[in-house]
Amino acid sequence: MKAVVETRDLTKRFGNNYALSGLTMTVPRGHIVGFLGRNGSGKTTTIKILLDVIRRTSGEATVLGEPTGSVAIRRRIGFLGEDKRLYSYMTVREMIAFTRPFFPTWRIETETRLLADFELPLSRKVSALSKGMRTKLGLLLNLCRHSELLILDEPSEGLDPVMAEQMLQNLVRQAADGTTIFFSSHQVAEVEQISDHIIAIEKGRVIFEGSLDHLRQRFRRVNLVFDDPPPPEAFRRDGVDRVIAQGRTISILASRNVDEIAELGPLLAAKSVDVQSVGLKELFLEKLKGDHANS
Amino acid sequence: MPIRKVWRESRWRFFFILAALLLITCASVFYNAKAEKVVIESKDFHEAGIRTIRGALFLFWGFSAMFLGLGGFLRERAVGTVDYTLSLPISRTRWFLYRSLNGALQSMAAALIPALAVPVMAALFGGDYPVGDAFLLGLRLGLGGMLFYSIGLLASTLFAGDFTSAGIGIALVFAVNNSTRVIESLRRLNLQDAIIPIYVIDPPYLIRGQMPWNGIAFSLALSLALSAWAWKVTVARDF
Repeated sequence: MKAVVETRDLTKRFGNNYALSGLTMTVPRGHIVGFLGRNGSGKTTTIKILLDVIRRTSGEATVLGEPTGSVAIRRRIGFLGEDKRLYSYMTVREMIAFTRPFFPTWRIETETRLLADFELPLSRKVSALSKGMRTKLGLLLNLCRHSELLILDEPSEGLDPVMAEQMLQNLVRQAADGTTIFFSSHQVAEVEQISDHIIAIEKGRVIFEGSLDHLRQRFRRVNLVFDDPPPPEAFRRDGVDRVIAQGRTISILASRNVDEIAELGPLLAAKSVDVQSVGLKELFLEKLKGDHANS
Repeated sequence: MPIRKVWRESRWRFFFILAALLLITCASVFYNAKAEKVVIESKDFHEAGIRTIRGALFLFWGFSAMFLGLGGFLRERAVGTVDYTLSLPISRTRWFLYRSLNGALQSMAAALIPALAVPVMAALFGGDYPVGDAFLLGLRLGLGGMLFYSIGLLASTLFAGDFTSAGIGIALVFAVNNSTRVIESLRRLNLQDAIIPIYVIDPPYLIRGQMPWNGIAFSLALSLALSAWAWKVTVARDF
């Protein structure tokens, strides 16, 4: 698996607060990678370090095999920020004319197609564009580059559902064209909709990562109902991420040894044993709870 | 491309400052010419011209040059465009270079153009002021006073917020100018004297003899040092 982004023990400290505390992750090439995390979990800080807008406190980070800060790699990447802020004093035409010469792989035919699709008013100033229009312009400025990597920070933030859907579909089309998409979001549904690889973070650390299919196959919830429940510790073993005892029910989230846990139920006099697959939202929430319980 | 961006971001501020300085210069020449009726009669605008350039223009240009130094990545962070700018394939050093050169040239123009308005004003009154003198004085003002511009450049890289950096810049310009007037040991460093020495204002109020290039060179060196500091901060800090 070739990586387009790699971080190892990445930390970022603002005063006494750690925004990132030992973030180690890999963004594989050719995938749509959802960077999932709550507000304030460190997603934007990570992206800003990758773009060299802010500097890491310690650790390592590479983009397209080069250390962050390399001007050359910025010719090969695109970026769309959360606010989609562009130069307010320029018109749409000027914004495109300003950005185009920086990128040798810029495709005029894509520019023409997207201008028609997005119905962008060329002579309107950026300051007079709605957030939806600014997003379209930002997307156009990035998609025309045909870059190897496109980084987006909360791309659907503040967009209406129609616009958000249009944007996601454009990302899927771009990925099909060979661009790796790395986008942050706190909305599990949109991450699950288009991503095929997930990196979830909390408090500046990865809480789980992997391909979406693999995560879905790997994690299982085992629900056991007892007349007289045994202590939760009876289920603690390798692969068990979380054990919740609630009345007569014990619910176990496990990534390994699922069969062993399920077989343990009858041995401990369980009245019923139910093994279920786990959705991304459930997994994310469970991992968050687990992370909070551990901290 | 990048130079176009820095020009677009600063041009209205520059035009406003230039218009204000031209207005101040013309008003000052007019006032000085009217105050000295003999000037009107003799058509000799030498004194009115030198008083304007050394007085009103020097004072207002100093603050204007400081304002022309403001801007940069901290300003872009405030309006939300810094992420986009820094994601483009241009190094921070190049952005800084374009911005500082653009501002320095604007400061120079803001010194030269109003200074050259003095002979124009004199001609309008039917009098005379040497264009060569006006050009040289404007050039010296622009070069020697580059320190004021560098103060603005540095303040805008150290302090976020337009008002904070402008306020600190104004205070520093005042401090630099007044300390060299009040403190005896610093008198030799006074920019007004370094740029337009006191001896040129004796009649006939024209440039005579050797100008104090050492003072101008010292001011320029200090200005370069402040600019280098601003560059170091720009390259190193988080946005």
